[in-house]
Amino acid sequence: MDITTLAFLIFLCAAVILYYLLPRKASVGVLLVTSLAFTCMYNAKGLIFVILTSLSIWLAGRKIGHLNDDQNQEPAQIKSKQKRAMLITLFFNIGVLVLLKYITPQFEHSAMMKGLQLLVPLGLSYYTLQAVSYVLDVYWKRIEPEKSYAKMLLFVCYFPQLIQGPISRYKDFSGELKKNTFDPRSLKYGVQLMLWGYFKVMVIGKNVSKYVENIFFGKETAYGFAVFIGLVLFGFELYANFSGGIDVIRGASQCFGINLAENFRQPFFSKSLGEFWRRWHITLGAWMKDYVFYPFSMSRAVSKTKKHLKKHMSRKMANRIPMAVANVVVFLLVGIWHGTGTNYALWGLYNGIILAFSELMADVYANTKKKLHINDKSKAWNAFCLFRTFIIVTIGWCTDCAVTALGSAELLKNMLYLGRTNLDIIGIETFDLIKISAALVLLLGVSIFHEKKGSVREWMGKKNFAVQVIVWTILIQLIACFGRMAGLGGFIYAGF
Amino acid sequence: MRAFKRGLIFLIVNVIVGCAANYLLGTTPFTQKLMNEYHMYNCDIAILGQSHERTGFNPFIMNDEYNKNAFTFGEGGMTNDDIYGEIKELNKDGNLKEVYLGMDYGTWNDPVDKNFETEGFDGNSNTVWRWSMKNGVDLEYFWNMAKAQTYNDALFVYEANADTIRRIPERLRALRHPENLKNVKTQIQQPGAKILGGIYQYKGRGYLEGMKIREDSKYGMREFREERISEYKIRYFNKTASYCKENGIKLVCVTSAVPPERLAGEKHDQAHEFFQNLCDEAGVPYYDFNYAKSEYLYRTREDYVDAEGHMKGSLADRQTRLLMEVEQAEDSSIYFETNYDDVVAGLKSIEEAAA
Repeated sequence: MDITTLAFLIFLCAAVILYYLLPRKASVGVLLVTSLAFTCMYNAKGLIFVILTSLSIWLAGRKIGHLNDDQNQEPAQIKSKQKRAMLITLFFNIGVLVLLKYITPQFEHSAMMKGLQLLVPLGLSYYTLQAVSYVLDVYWKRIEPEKSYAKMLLFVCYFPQLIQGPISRYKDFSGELKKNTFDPRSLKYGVQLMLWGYFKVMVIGKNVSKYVENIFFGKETAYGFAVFIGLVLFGFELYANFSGGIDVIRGASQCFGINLAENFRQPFFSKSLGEFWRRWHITLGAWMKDYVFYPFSMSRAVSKTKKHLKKHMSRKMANRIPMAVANVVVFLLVGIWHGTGTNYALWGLYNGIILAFSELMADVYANTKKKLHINDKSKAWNAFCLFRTFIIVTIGWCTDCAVTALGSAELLKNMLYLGRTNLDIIGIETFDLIKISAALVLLLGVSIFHEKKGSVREWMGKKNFAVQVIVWTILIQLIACFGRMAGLGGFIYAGF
Repeated sequence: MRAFKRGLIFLIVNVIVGCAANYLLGTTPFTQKLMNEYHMYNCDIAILGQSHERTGFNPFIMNDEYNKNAFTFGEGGMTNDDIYGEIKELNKDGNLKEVYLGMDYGTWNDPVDKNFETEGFDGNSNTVWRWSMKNGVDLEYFWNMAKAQTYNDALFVYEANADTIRRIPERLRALRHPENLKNVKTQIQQPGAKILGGIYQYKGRGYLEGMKIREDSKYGMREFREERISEYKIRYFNKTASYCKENGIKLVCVTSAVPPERLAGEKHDQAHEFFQNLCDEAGVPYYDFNYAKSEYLYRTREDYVDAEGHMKGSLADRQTRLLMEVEQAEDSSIYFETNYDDVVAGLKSIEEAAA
């Protein structure tokens, strides 16, 4: 069920009404029933995997917790059993993800696969990471194991975040569940956040997508500046669709009084690639940092490597090389998580290598800036950094606009044929240009406000009621008048 | 309580603003005017379907020459489920006698799938009866529409673009006095439609007469593929056929003739077979004018406004007369080819002779 459909809004309204009508102690039950119903509506078979995942991590958590309390065994024995329980659960859950997402599509034409009619369950990529984080947090004693299976199941299949995240941590989610009070402001802010999300998706994302399709998926090949414009537009489309979708999801969740983690923080205001990926898909980045980057960097193998490297080079460099490698590994994994195509792996390598290079060249950059008397805090330098980051990120989108790594390389090659620039294939109409530009200016304004002052909703909430009605009515009408679906393609990130 | 009151005020304000915007920009008011015109003429025969039916069959020919008090509600992208609702609305007084139903496979695809490589969204917003419960609550239709469309397309049946905004004064004149619709030398607008100045003229009875060829016309071939036909759409066609049978309405299915180059490039023989079988099972006649013999329906590319197949008035008149003759004939098969290759070859030879 697409979150822009009327069906989703009807479903959400019914769930919210039920949530507040029934006694507070039934709230987890209501959310669970609605989430399971939502999963079934997409594909009833997906329910099996949701239950298997939640059961496996719940049992593993309880086993690890029991072993903690076991006074009869040696600590080394306990640790070994806990590690075994953790590894089996991780292996199982990641195995299901790999099997359904990466392996079965290779055999989709075989009779057996057609018979099984396996479909990737909704949200598999997202809730698997959540499941893994839960088990590791329990194993590392960061959280206590959850006793209630209902809450564990809800954590896995909570319907607003099933479609495209954000990737929650159990500690945060259970804390939100405990709040369990009715706050009208929460409902109001939730609806307003959803409206803002719909504006981004339907007015910006969907209107820009038409031109991205003209450039990259039309009958003619784009060259030169047309390719660059296409990549820029794609970046805007992706940001509008993804962050807008997340706003709708977070807003929907806020209607229940449950706050989900922020997933975007004005990424185009970043001054470095590292900062960009700390502001874009924040929860995925944080997950990778906590469960891949740090464990990898602090592993025994890496410590031994560092010791060995210190014999041959400076201490700084010996520390930086493993960090650089860790960056490449993390981004490669992030790329593969997005999909099976070679273009995703290329995307991962592109970003990972740039970050690794920056890490290794940190001293060289610092010395160069000193020699050139560049003031880090000057506006000119900040503007340069913003522009540089924007260009690096924009070039990286070529992997999303092509289906394979070779296709991405072809795209970049075509971009270099500046003399063959064919802007006419964009086919932009004057009214659309005005509409999209105005929408982007509004988005920029709101983003600047968020960056400098905080929440627009809270600021608006302090204004006179009539002003609030006018502002939000205008937003609704902007969506109504200008938010058309070019085609029913669904959310890009819902495909993961 | 205060929060509840404020929420209610906000909702009311938005309903008022939405209705005003719909009046200024949407197509629902025009549909209502067309309905009023239908009742004004006391029509009892309706031509339903998509834009090809709106431009391909002339209700004035039916009325003036064959004594059939007809009106057309053809609307671009109209789907079977909306047409089913349309028929029930038109028959609310029990006076509807006959329906000519356009069969165009382009709108038979699954509502949530972007099929046939088209950009058009499934389900037309020009449906007054969508929210009308007086003809009975159709939960399947309602839920399908709710899943298939964004809330925007379902709730706000209007769109603002340069043309719709510029034409607001003209709209208001036309809405105040329906006879002004005839002075509008452009297509009655739908959300997102381009205004085609001087290409069409609204003649009344819902009919758009094609006046001249569109020079900038482009069309991407859309092959028929039976695996993409929606079970939901088939179900609604069968519901339509059953409803007509139960209410004594004569249902005649037709496919308007498309330009020769489309016939050559798309699999219309497969579409023909599919619709023929469907209509045979439903027990309703089906006339595919793509198969009409050239001596009965002479047509070249010059007879069409655009490459997609919207007819000029002269061809629409010929097709309408042929439909009337076919209906009245004892043996309608004499008007049609039996072999697709003969159809294509016949049209090709006409084009060559005309060149």
